[in-house]
Amino acid sequence: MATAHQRTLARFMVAPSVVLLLLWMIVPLAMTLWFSFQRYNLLMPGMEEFIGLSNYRYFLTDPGFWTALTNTLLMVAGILLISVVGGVGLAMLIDQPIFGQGIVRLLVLAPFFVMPTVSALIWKNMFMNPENGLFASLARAVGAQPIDFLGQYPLLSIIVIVAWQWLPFATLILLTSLQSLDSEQVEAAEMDGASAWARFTHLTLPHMSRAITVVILIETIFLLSVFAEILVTTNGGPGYQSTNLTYLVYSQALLQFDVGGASAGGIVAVDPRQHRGALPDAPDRQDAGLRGRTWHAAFPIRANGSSPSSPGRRPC
Amino acid sequence: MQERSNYFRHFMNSVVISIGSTLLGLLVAVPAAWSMAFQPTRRTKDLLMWMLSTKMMPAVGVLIPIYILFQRAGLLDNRFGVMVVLMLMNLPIIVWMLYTYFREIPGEILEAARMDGAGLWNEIRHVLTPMAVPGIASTMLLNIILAWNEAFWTLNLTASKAAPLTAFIASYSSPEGLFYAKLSAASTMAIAPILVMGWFSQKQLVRGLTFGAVK
Repeated sequence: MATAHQRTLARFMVAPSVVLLLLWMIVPLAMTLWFSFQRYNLLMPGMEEFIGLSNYRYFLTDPGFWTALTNTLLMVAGILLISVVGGVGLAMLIDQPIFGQGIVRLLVLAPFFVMPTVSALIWKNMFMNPENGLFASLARAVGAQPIDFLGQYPLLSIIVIVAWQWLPFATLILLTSLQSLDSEQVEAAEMDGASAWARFTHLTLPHMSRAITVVILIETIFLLSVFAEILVTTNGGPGYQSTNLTYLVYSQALLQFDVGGASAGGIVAVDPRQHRGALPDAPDRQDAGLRGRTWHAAFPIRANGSSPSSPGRRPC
Repeated sequence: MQERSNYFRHFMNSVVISIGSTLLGLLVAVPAAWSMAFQPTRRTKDLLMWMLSTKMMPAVGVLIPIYILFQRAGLLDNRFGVMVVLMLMNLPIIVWMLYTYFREIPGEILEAARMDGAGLWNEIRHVLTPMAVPGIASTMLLNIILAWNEAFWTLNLTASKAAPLTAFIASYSSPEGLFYAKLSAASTMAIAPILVMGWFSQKQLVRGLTFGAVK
């Protein structure tokens, strides 16, 4: 159907995006890799030299690195847990027909649109502040000692702040999926005497499984690089207690000016192996394993003819 | 008074950066999504997956070279520099979202137009453009929201002159006099426009952020 002329035109139209993304990915990444083998400190110009794997050795034996790695994983896992479990619950609550449903939905969704620096500062100063914060006043009202959340439980506090932003996102997506659940099926199950719990585990959850997968995938992408919330609340401290990998690399490069060391950190941070636990494989074609399939199932593409996996899936 | 003019400057930076990066992105992405949707080849699917996979790379992996390149090129604390970075960052999302919208335009309409003797230009102008505009508009809206709230690159690549509201608000992280009132006012004004836009674009948001996997 397409003439050769049209096909050339099509290539020409795709080219700019591909070239830009390639440049954006390959050039800086190659530079990071190159820097990571150099002694390169912005405070000591002219002293650059090739030092092999020293930066990696230094970075990987730095106690800060392991703390940051653990913190990153804890943060992703904690926030995912809160937002998926809470999201399923909230979505089912909002799905009930109640008065003012529209307004409730809007309010539940709102935190997602608040810029990260704003929400983190509001939490820091107005909720978690040990002297003037809301939680401190509440604690005093019941006669308890106010807690300095960000000082004593920095990682947990940041998890709460970031989860507050991402819970609405999960809720929104799970709600969208919930609304496409066939209500007749639910009614039929009800008539057959299935309990509410059985209906939930056998109908609702399986129906939402794809949406849940999507939530986990997308949130992981964003949560691996949580940055602004840490910067404006704890600055990664006290010590390394709330530093994640992103923040560690940032502080090494732009606060200590150690470009070489930070580059090694950057390379470690993008090493796909450590994302495997949380993420299914990036969609490379060789991998026909289960994880590859999960990914393709979550993001079906209906390109002409090339997708045998979805016969009859096309809306007619 | 000083405060107010400062605030206005940062507000305008946010506006310029988010709208500018969105327009730049559309400029590159519309043709790409268009041809992928209407002239798919065997590689289209892989190409889309590859674009998605570029989003998986944590930004720190490229922070240092981008920072140094920008420093050399004098693009640090420059609105255009931030604009380009945000455009590249969101490009996969824009392409994907546009693609899912364009896919829904039925191909039969094109064939009918061709039968009636419409040339390529007429086809684009009178048939496709009117059908594509809603999709482009919602892609734009979502992308403006994402760019407005982006807080990794804006914090790292700007200092004062080109700092958008994300960076400006971050400067409130150390308390000072009259602090709560100012913080509240600045915060409210920073989130209000995006809150309104977000409420209008709920449905598109689901679709855009899940790369069309949940509608």
